[in-house]
Amino acid sequence: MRAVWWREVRELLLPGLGAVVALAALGVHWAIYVRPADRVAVFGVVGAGLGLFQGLLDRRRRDDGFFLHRPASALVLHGTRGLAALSWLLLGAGAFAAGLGYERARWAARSFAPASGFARYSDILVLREGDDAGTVTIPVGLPTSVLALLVAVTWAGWAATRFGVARPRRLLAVPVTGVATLGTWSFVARAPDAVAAAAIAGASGLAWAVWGLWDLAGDRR
Amino acid sequence: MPIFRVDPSRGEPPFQQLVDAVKRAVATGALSPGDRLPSVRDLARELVLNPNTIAKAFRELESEGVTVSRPGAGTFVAERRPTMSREERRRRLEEGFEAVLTEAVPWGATDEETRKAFEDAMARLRGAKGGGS
Amino acid sequence: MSAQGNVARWDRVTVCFGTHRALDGASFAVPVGGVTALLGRNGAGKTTAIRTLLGLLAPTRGSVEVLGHDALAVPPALRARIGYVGEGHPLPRWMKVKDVVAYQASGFPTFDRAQCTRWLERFDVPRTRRVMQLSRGMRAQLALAVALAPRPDFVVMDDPALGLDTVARREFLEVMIDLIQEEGRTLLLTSHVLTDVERVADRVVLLDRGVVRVDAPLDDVRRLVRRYELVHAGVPPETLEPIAGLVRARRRHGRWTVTVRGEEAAVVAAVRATGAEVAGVEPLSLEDVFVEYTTREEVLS
Repeated sequence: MRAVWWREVRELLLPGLGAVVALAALGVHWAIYVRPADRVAVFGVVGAGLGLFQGLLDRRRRDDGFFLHRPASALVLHGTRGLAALSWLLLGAGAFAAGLGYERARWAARSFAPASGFARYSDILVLREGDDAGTVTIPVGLPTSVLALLVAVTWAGWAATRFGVARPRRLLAVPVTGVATLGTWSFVARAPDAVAAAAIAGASGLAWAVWGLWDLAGDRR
Repeated sequence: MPIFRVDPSRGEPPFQQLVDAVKRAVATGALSPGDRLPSVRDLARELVLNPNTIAKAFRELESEGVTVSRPGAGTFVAERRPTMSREERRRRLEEGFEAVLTEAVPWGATDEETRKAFEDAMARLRGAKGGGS
Repeated sequence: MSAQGNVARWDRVTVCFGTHRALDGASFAVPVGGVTALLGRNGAGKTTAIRTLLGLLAPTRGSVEVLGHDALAVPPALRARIGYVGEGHPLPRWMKVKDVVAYQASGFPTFDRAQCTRWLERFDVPRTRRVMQLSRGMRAQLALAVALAPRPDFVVMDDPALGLDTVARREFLEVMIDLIQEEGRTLLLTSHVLTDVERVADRVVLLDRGVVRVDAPLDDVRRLVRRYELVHAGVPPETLEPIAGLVRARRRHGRWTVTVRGEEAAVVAAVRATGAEVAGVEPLSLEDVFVEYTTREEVLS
């Protein structure tokens, strides 16, 4: 499925690069002032945006035969596309971290301490703890295995948008996906304890995945 | 080997056109008894026609006694032997002429013209046969 | 293959786009072996039918079966035996020709690279050029080559001749003839070039506004559908009494001309029963038949 993955990465070149640049800029802009929960939520929004773009690609329904008529199950085919979108998102996370690090370094050089006062967070990308540090952060104490669930949430947000857009529900799917992705992330980030955060992430990831993949029952493409 | 012409935009179905073309080639002597026809495969390529159409034309030709097929060897132009009864031949000739004459009458062709056209056609066919074989 | 010896079968298929019915209770089948041509004007439902066949579109009502499975649940191993060329030969524009070949080869286990290369050389498609730099005809040939290289048992082509010039179309037809020669292969194609269809098709299905009007062997269509010129004693009537199998009736220069499907003797008898005589009978080319069935006027049924 490497060919399918690469094709999709290439098809997403423009929005993907756009996401990387935007996230890098946000990393710089939000290095100091913005709460980690909102930083985190932006990834959900960008992920949903990529999903929306993929969905729009699919609206050119007449052109997709070459891609969709392939001896692989629809689940594998579209799952691989999801991974391609996720690859761009991870690249974007890297850019965000770079922007953040750059801005932090600049501030540190000017001997300013970043504003704090929030709970301690763990950065799930670089596995580092701090008051207000990192790119994709979760409250300290959350088991790292929850990382997988968080990824599932982002991915399922993509899947829901993608299938929502491709199907007659598309008008509903866009706002629902946006609101729900934001909501899920902020709940996770503000959960009173690790168990609650894990439960929220797990439940919503499951719900998204079920909704997103429901359309793939059988081999409908 | 004569070149058979098939033009799908004409009124008759392609297989009928091929049957007629082979019959004409036999009548003019371009094909002689014992000559081997191209294989269905080759003819399909050459004429750019569905092989099933060629095969159908070959079946038709065989059932009319124009060709014989020898399994493994191919399709050959049949020896000209009276496979039809005299009665059957007469009936077919009459049918054929009647078709032509029904066409010709509305044009106002005179008996003389009709007879002359018939004799000319015969002469042309014989001439072609003499030259062709 | 299914019990009826069909590669694909549409069973009362209706596809709605909003209020528009692209297919309206269409039932027809593609038998194993040979070439079936799906004909119809633009918007008649041909592409919709093909998209339901490939599981790219779910019917609103009815079902489509392909290789013995519901079209929406064809296992990948069977899907690998179906070759598909989409309308307009869509290929990713940014890919190079060799990328397109590699992409397709990575998906289809039976992909025959040597054959694909031979076809591309025959068609003169440069391997290092990008799809967006290819001419329409070259893109079409590339799409055909990569769709046919896996040696599929069932080939589905949506207007494969679109954008090909006369010479390229002939080359393509020659490739088609080679394909048919291989035993047991089934082709389903749509085309607007009816003389090509007459060269290659065994069977035709004619769609008109989502409804199947003809589903028969090509020879039957050619033999049975004819145009009859009628003469009436005295003044020709304003309306014609019904004739079984009537396709189209026109009144021109004070005479009725009818296109009827049926054995000639039976049609002549039916015409006589209405009090008219047959003044002339004309066999029709497939193009004529197509026009007679799909022209939107004076169609009496």
